[in-house]
Amino acid sequence: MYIPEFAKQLKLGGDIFLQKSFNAAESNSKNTEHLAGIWAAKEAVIKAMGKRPNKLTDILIVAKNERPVARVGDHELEISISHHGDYAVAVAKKEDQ
Amino acid sequence: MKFKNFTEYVNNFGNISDRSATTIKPFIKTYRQTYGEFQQQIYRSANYLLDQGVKKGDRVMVVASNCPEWQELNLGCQLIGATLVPVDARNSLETTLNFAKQTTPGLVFRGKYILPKLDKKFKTEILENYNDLIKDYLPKPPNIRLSGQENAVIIFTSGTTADPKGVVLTQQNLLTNADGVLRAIDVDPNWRILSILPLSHSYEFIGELCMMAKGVSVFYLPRITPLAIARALNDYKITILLAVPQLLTLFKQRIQQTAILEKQDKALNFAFKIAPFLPKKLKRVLFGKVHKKLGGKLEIVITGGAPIPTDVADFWERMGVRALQGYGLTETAPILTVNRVKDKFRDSQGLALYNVKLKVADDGEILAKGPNIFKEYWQNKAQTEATFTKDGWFKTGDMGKISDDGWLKIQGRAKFVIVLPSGMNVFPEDIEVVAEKHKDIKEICIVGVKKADGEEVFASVISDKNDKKINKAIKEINEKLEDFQHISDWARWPEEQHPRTLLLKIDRKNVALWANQGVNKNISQKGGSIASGDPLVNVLRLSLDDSRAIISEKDRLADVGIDSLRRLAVISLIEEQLGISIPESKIDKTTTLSDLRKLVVHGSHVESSNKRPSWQYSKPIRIIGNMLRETLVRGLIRIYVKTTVEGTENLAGLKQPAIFIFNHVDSFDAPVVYQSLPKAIRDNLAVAGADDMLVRHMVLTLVSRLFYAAFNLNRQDNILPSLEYTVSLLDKGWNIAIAPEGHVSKDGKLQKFKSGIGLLAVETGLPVVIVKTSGLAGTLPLDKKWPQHFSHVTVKIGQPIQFSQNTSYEKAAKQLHKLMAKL
Repeated sequence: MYIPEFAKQLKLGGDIFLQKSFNAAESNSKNTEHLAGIWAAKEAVIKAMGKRPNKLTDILIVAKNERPVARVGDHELEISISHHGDYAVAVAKKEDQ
Repeated sequence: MKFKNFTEYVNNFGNISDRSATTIKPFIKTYRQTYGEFQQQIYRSANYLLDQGVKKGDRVMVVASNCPEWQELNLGCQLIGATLVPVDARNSLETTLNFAKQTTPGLVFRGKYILPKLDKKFKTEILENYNDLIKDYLPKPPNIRLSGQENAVIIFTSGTTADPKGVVLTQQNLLTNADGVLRAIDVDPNWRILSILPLSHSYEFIGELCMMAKGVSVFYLPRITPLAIARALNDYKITILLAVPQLLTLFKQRIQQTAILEKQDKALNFAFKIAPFLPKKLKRVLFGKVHKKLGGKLEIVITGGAPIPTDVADFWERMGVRALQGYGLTETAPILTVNRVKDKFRDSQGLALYNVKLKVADDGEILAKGPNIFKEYWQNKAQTEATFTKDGWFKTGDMGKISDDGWLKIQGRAKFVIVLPSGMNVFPEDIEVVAEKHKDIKEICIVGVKKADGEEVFASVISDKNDKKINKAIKEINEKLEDFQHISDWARWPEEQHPRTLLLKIDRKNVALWANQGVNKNISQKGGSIASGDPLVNVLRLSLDDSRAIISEKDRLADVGIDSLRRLAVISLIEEQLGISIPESKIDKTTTLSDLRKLVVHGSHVESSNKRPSWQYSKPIRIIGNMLRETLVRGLIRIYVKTTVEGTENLAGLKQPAIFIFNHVDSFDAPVVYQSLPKAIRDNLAVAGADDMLVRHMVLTLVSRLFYAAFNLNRQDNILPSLEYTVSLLDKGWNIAIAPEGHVSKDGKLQKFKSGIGLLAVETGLPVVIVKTSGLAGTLPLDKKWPQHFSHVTVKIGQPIQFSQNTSYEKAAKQLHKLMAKL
């Protein structure tokens, strides 16, 4: 995820974009880089599951034992988010792998 | 309405105790209270605060968005003479801490998701839990005498870096101002007001104070978005709004753009041309379609915070909505002047309140006197003294003119405060202090540049670095500022130094003049993008940041560069600008512009979210339906099914409405369950049916609605509206019967429950009764039209159970499943 582009779309879409993208617990921090990381994680989860949920907020990124995990319905996926320069990168691991 | 102090103010609620006071729907359940109940909560609140050790004169801080609890806390504080320090929930931690450092609050209330780090430094409580915190306290007025001179609130007016000024308003300041407003505006107690501006803003604060004194019903929103506002206008039939001009501009654009999309723009323009010649009632008929989207009842919008653009005010007036504007400052508690409802629309901030004196000083500055003028800046004697003339007039810092018959017209801000379209005030000094520290900036002067509906923050820069470096510097400076303070644009000052005043300070006035004239042209060229008359293309161009992007109807959005990120931005923009909500799942890689257009044109207007057939709930239909069910239908079913009911005694003393859940094995199960319940319950029982089933079979739909007061649940993509509807039925006193498995069990075994049932049980807190049938499976399978065989069915009714608010939905669903399996 290219952070400046993310910031631009976030600004455009405003509060509605924020609410459609993030659960309240995720958008707690208004830090754009942080949000871009969560967005990247959600995209990674979609790719790992091979299916796009009806709503992006159906994916919840939370910290569990200080490590981020993604919850989608009954599933829980391990994820990793990192930032490098203008980019936020995330990897999601399917449970059965 | 004159109140000496807040004891009298809250006492007054006893005279209007039956009127509806506050309404909020935090999630799917609506919470309402009357003024009588509200008064009791305020008394509990006061006693709770006393018990927490809050004394007269102590400060209590609140950092949260508007809700009934906010007012319970506020008025509770007032009753014991404590001082509330309301802070805008959008402020950063740093700013909030700065306010807290100055006012040293003994107790801080914050919104659930707002600044959790405050907990480390202060004794904090979550405002959403307030009713729980105070529930055990006595609903009796506290035994504290108030003089009216107590400090009621401290509202901060300045930003982060320059010393913030806390405006101290006494109870008398607020109550005399409310009195003045209520004399100027004849408030009808039957109005319904939507609370959208933050209560930490003195304008909303006094607005609600006035409305509540008259017994007006106040509606709160859990989230403030244009979408949520549009919905609420409709759902709550709102009659009055306090708003910043920006919102009215937004709605104006939305109405115009929707008209273009629906090819109604010519009709709309024609309507606007003839509207001024029509009386108000006819105007509203003429714009009936628009009014319907605004809920149909909106009568008055009072704007404040920033001057309303004349064309926007005119737009609303032509539609038959009064667009009033007022003028004031936090320091004046805050209203000084306001337009009257009866007067014709004019481009003025209105006449002074009866208890306010205004005059214009020799240099054009507006001066004010009155009982509403603030007492002092918190712990800042020098500043306080500086804002008053020697003979005690308050210096507003605004330039203006007053006509012979008293109409005020504001001409500009003497203090160079930049007023954003949102009504937020930006103080140039705040930004300069930060910016001057940057190594690539030699000198900077911040001024406001006028835009259509407010000002934007503009920087005049002196630097020997190239443009790229300055761009970078501005970006870095912005990161250190509050969001609303961000510098939107900049230019180089054409000379080596900024012009200076006699006192060698930068002559801001001249810089502002230059910025607004000379540079403005360049700026508008730079940003002059939108040429297309098609709002959809515009939205796509905005997202692509390419004002000339050519997109044809057949183009796939993915091919022109709309990826998943931009897709969501586009959906959000469409929702905001056109008020049309498109499900995310409806757009994917293959969607073309023409597909998108179809979705938008046929898409659901967000304003009309809860449209469902409701004829089955009318009294006459229920009488007929119930009668037919008890005789004819019951007889028919009895031919095939013999029923034994166990556990009816569990329903003795059951508090209605209740939620009945049953196992789903057969088409006959709803009728059988219905008939197993006592008549007093089943005559008032609505059955939930699946959307896909009910919509497909016309006859089945009709029959189930008529006999079983059925309503449809959407079990596929969007469960929330369905649940909201279910709760609205429960709210109206209907019992609900629902099959939590979602689908018919093919082998008769109990399947997993949907978590929706858990949500319903927890959020409503209503009793849930388990009804389990056995022996029914296969009697009338879903795919068959006629019963296949006779059966003898046993129906077991369990004991009602209730869940506490903090149970998780999954846990509740699992527990119900367990209980049904055991029964």
